[in-house]
Amino acid sequence: MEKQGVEVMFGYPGGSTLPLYDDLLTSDIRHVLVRHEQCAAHMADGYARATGKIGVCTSTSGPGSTNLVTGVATAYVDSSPMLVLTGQVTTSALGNQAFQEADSFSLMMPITKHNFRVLSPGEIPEAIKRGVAIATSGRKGPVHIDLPSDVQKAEVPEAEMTKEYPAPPPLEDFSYLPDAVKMLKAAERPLLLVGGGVIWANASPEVVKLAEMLMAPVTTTIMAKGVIPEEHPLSLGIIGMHGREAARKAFLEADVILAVGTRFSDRSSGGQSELPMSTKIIHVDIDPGEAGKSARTQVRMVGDAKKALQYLIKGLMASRGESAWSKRIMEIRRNCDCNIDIASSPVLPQFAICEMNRSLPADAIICTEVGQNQMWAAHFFKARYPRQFITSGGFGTMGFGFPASLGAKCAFPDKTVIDIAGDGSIQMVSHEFATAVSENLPVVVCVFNNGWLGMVRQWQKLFNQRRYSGTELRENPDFVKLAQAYGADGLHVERSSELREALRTGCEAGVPFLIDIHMDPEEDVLPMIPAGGTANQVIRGRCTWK
Amino acid sequence: MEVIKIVGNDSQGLFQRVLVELGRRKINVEKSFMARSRGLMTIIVEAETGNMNGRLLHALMALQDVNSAEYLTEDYFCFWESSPVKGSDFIIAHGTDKDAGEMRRTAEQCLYKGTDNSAKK
Repeated sequence: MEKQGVEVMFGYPGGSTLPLYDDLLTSDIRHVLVRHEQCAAHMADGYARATGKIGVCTSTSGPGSTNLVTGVATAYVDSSPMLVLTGQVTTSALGNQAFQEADSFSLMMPITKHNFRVLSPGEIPEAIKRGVAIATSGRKGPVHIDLPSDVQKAEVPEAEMTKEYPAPPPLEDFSYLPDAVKMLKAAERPLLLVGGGVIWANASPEVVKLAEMLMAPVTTTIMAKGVIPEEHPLSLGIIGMHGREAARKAFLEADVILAVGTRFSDRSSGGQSELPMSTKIIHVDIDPGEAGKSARTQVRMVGDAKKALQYLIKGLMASRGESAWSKRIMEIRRNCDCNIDIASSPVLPQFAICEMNRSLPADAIICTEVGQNQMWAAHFFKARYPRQFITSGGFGTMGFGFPASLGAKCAFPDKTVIDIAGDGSIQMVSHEFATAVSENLPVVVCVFNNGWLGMVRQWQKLFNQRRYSGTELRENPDFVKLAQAYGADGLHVERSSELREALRTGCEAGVPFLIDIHMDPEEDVLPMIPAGGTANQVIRGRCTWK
Repeated sequence: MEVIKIVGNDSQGLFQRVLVELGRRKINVEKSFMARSRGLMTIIVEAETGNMNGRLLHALMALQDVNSAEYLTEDYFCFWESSPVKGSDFIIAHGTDKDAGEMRRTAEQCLYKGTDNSAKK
């Protein structure tokens, strides 16, 4: 793993990984001891998303590996490259329901890009080298290696160590590139719909360049937030259920949509019944199983997003100037207005995000949990660069953000790293304050505390006649005291006027810090298009359309 | 109903992985057969592919160690012959009628070892 460039590994040891941990004593790889294996996977995932490099996590066999499952699935759905090492009972005990035995190989199969069960020491180099190559090439994703303890103990034959296992050849098909170029040249109202694949391909500069050449607006999925600076005049922000109304309007008015690195998820741009029949889609995706997924696709290209965008830029050659479409985009942007920067008590969640936009360092990394906190952050935080905004988009894993922020902090100790949490999600992973303190990872956790499982409550309120069931978080702990019990620190915020100072204190604390922000449970995440609904059914809340 | 032939490197779990991939995509597998030979694994699957059409083959091709995936346009019925004494063989019979009895008769008349049907004509 050292030879593959692995610098840090997040894990929790056990009987079946004793040999692995013994070797770690003489390794340059930093080991971060977590307090729950699920968080090891989230930390490795956060590290991978923040850096673009492979994240590594490990657990023992049986319950250790089953605890990893949620974290691995989270990474799989968002195409995050990870190496997942699990200990296993000895090869002679396999299949006998031995102590701490689980069929990790089968458990991990549907939630990994590939997996190996190593049955002899000679297979270890291949599993590691191929594993890293597979995880980091094509559509990235986690690769699992199951390591029986006797195999870990055995000596690897020297000849096996020197063999090379190159990355699998990319599955590419750019044969319809001329058609795509022709279609974009002829487009009167082009639009770029960009997904997380563009972040993984490091193709942000190409997106900005192509958008400026075409004078085409760019809307992103939540996974691609930051691929174009959100203050850029051509940026329309995120699209989807809780996306920008401007993005949805432009999406529906465009005549050619260039969709890159997106799988048309049901929460972003999956609902295409509203698109006029004349709308043409050019779909570029590195996963041949995803490319051309939309029935509207007229041109399908399979391959790396960066390469595809470079080809398109080269093919287009000339830039466009102002047009009726670019004027219309400016008008659409102006029409969409949200009155949210309101100092109040309790604090408005939207105001809290606005305050972060104002007072955090420009390069601060923002992680989120899942639920209302995530959607407020996705909608109102102004991302400035790719990999700045880290969230569990596809799997929607509560408890992801805090450990992911620790993974990001490992990678970038000098950057401010914030986790935007809910009072529900933080309680799934609050034990990781012990990891944060012991590993000296001073992140700032902002708990949007409204005493409810807010997003579920919102759905019960809007679509279930306020029949609240199982969503009130009674007897929440004092989160600041909880953080302090672990050796971290924190502050309560009850008024908007206290927030800026609390953020400053948290960022300068030098220890993990929790800001418990008291919020009104009646505040909903809006705008919102109800599930399966259309743009006409949007619920606007504090946002208006002129 | 479609019949798909998938050929890949004989790696651990490939057969299972193919079935998992199909199951994940809500594709009902009616019958499936697998044979190993000379470092390759051939998998034949009879399944209701729904609206995946051509993209399904791409999805299967994207699995690690899968070298090819194709729809078989002819009617294939596969039999697994196994005996603790005589060993076992994988055979494919080919016919134009899907009627089971007809196919069995066809199969009995044209037993071809291996999964490669190119040599049978």
